Amino acid sequence: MSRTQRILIVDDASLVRLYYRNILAPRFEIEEALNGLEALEKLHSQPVDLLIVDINMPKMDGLSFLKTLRALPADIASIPALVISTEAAPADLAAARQAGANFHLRKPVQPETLLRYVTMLCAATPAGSTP
Amino acid sequence: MTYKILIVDDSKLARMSVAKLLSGLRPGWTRLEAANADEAVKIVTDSEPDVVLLDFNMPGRDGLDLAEELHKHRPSMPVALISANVQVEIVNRAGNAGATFLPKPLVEEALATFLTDAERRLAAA
Amino acid sequence: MNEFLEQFLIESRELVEQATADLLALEHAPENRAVLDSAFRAFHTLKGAAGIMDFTAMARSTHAVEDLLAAVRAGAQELNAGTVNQCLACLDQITIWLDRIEAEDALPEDAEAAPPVANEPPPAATQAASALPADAIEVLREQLALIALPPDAGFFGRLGAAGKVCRNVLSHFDYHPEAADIETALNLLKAAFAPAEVPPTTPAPTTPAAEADAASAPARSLRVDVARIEDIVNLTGELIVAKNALTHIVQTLDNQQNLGHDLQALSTRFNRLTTGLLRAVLATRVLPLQRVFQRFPRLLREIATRLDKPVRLVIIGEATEADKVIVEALFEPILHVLRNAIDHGIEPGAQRLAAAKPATASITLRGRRDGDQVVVEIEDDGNGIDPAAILETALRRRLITPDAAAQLPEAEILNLIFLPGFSTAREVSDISGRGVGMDAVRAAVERLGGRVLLHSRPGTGTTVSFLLPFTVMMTRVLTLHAGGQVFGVPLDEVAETVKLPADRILPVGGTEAIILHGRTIPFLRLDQLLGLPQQLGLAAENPATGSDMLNAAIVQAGGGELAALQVDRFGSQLDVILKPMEGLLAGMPGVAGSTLTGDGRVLIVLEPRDLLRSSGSGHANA
Repeated sequence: MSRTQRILIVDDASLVRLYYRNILAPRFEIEEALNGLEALEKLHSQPVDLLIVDINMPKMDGLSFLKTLRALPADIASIPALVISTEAAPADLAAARQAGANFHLRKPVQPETLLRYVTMLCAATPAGSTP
Repeated sequence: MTYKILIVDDSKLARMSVAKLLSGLRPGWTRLEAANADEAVKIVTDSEPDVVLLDFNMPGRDGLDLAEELHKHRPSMPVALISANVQVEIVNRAGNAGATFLPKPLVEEALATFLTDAERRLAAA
Repeated sequence: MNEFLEQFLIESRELVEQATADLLALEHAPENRAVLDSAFRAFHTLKGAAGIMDFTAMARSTHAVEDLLAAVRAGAQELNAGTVNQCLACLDQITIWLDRIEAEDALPEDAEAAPPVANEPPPAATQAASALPADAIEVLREQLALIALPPDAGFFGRLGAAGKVCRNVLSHFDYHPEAADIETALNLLKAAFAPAEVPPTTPAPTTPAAEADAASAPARSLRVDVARIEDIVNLTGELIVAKNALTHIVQTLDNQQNLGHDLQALSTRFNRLTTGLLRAVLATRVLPLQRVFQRFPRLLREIATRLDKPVRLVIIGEATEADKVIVEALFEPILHVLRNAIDHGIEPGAQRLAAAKPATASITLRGRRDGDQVVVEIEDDGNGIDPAAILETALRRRLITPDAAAQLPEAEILNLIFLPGFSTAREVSDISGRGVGMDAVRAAVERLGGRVLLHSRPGTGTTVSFLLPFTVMMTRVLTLHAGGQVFGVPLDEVAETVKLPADRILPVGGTEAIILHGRTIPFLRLDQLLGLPQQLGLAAENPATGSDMLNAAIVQAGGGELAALQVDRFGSQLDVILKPMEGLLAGMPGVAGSTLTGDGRVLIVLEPRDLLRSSGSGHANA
C-alpha cells in the first residue's frame, strides 16, 4: 500500500526545525537541511513528498532554492513545497508563488494548522503513482 | 392468473436481464421476445400477448413509435416503455399512447409496480 | 463464465465495433445524421449494458460520451477530430476492460473511468466524497494561480508540483476518480520529461584530432527556446476558464450541492490542458536537422584533404525538423556513410576525368519530410557500388557460402554490405575505422525506429537513405493477445491482419509456412516465440474466432521479407508514447519499448523484426 510520506524541512533555525519535527514526526519521516544548497544536495540523493521551506537562510535562501529546483529537468523539480515564513505581505506571497511555492503559511504557525496543511498537501499517494 | 408478456429490446443482454426479473416476479407467466419493432408486431398479431415491455432506444422504428402503433390496435393492452433518458416530449407522447414509463436500468420495484397495475387493468377489462 | 457476462462481452464488443466504424465514418462525413444516430445509439446501448451488469465505471464513461454526442445531435457541440478522439478513447478503455473481464472472468473491481469527456454528475451514492472545506478550496485555487504564471524556466516544475498538490488534496477528500484523472495527466507529463536518453552510439574510432573536436558529445540538457514557449502560453486560456470555474465554486460554496461535478470538470480541463501541453512540449523536443548537418562541412574538408580527393558537400533541407533524440543520434551513422563515400565511392581524380566527371566530387546531404517520416539521404557522384566486388569480399570473408552466393538475386547483393564483419576496405584505413561497418549504421538507424536503404548506379554514384520516424515519442500500436497476455505491435510493422483456416498451414522442413498473395512466408506462433504457454495443437478450435480459423498478423521480418505471426486475437489500435526499456531489460531483443495504457497498466510493445531475427526464424540479414 502507501508508504510513510517523507518531508524535508529547510530552515536555518534549529529550534524551528525541532518544532516542526515534533509536530510531524509521528506521522511522517522527517529530513532536515539548513539552507537551500544543502536541500538540493539531499534531494538529489533521495527525493521527498513535501518540502517545508523558510525564506531567509544563508548560502541559498528559500526563493532561490525553489526557483532553482523548479527549473531542473528532473522529477524532483515538481515536489510540492510549503513556504512558512515571517513575511506575508501580498508582495511576499506573490514572490513565493513566482518561485514555485504551492502554498504559504505565516510564522509562527500553530501545530494544528501545520498538520492540517501538510496532510492535505501530501495526502497518501496511491501505490505506484508519481511520488 | 398467468399472462403472456412480450419483451422487445434489440439487446439480448437486456432481454436476458428483464427475463431474469420476470422469472422472479411472475414465474408462471409465458415470456415472448422480439429484437425489433417488426418482429414485435408479428408476435403481437400471431400470439396476442397480454402485456408488452418495450425498449425505447432501438434502430429502425423506436419504442415510442411501436407503442403508438400497438395502442392503435390494442388500446387496452398495458405497455411499458423502458428508457434511460426521460424527456418531456417523450413522456407526453408515451402518455398519449397509453404507455407507462419505466427507467433504465430496470429495477425490481419499478417492474413489480407496473406488473401489479397491469394485472389490475387486465382483470378489469 | 456466467451467461450474462458472456452475453455482455459479445454485445459490448459488437457495439464497440459498430461505434468505431460510425465514428470513423463521421469524421469524414460529419453531417451524416444516420451515422451520428447510430453512434449515439451504440454508446447508449453500451451504457445500458454496463448498467445491467452494474459496471459503474463503464456506465459513467459511456454516459459522458452519450451526452457529448447528444450535444452534437442538438447542434450545441461541433463534431471534429478532437470530439471523435474522445469518443474513441472511451471505446479503447472499454476494450481494455472487456479484455480484462474475459481474462479474469469477472468485472474489474478497481476500474476507474478514463477522464470523462463532458460534464457529468457523479453517480449518486457511489462515492463517499466529503464536501471540500474552505482551506482545501483555497489550496486548489492557489495551484491554479501557480499554473497561470507566465512561463519561465520553472514552468514545468511548477506545473508538476501544482498537479501533485491538486491530486493529493482531491484524494484526501475522497474525490478519487478526479485524483486519478490528474494522476494520469501527471504520468503523461513525466513521460514527456524523462531526460532524453541518447541511444548508445558506436564507439568513435581513434582518428585525427580534427574529427575528435568536431565529434563533440551532444548536449544532455534540454535548452528550450523561449520562442517555443510562446506556443504554450496560448494554452493559458484554458487555465483562465478553469480558474473562473473554481472561483464560482468558492463564491457559491454554501449553495453548492454538486461540488464533485464541478471538480470533475476542473480535472477534465486540467487533463486537456496537459495533453495540449504535452503536444507543445513534444514540439520543443524537435530540432532542425541543421544541428547535426552543420558538423559535417568542416569534417568533410579534413577528410577530403587527407585523402587527397577534392569533395564538396552540398546540404539541402537542413531546416527539416526531427525529434531531438533522432537528430543527435544521426551524427555517427552519417559520418560513417560519408567516410565510406569519400574513401570508396569517390574515384581517384584520373578515373573521374576519364569518366568525364568534374574533378571535384559532390556529396549531397539531404533532409526532407515525407509524410510522417524524416528522410536523410547521403548521395555521392562517385563510382557506385560494384556488386562483383561486394560478392568477392563477402566470399573472401566467409560471410556467405559459394552456393548461396550463386543463388543470390542481384538485388540482394548490395545488402551484403550490412552483414556484420563486412568492411568495404581492402585495407582497414584509419578513415573508415576498425570494426565500424554498415551493420552498425543500420543497427543505429533501426534502433531509432528507422530503416536504411541503399541505391547504387554503377559509374554514377550511390545514395544511402535513412528513413526515420518524425518523432520517437508517439507510435500507433495494434494490441494483440497471445499466450493469455496482451502486447502491442507498432502498426507500421504490420502489413495486414488475416484470419485463415488451420489447413492453410503448410509444413516446411521443421517449420511452417503459408502462401499469402502468391508468396510463401514463414508461419510462426507468437506465444511460442515469446515462450508463453501455448494452446495444444495448431488446429485446435480457436475460441476467439469460434472455428478452425486462426488469427495472424503479417509483419515485416527484416530485409523486405514478411512473416506471419499467429495470435489469439487482435485488440484495438492505440497512439502511445513508447518508452525504451531500461535497466536489465534494455538489451532485450524483440521489444520496442513499453507504454502506459489508459488504465495505467504497462503494455509491452514488441519489435517483430528484432524478435524474428533473434529467434533465428526471420530471413537472414541479407
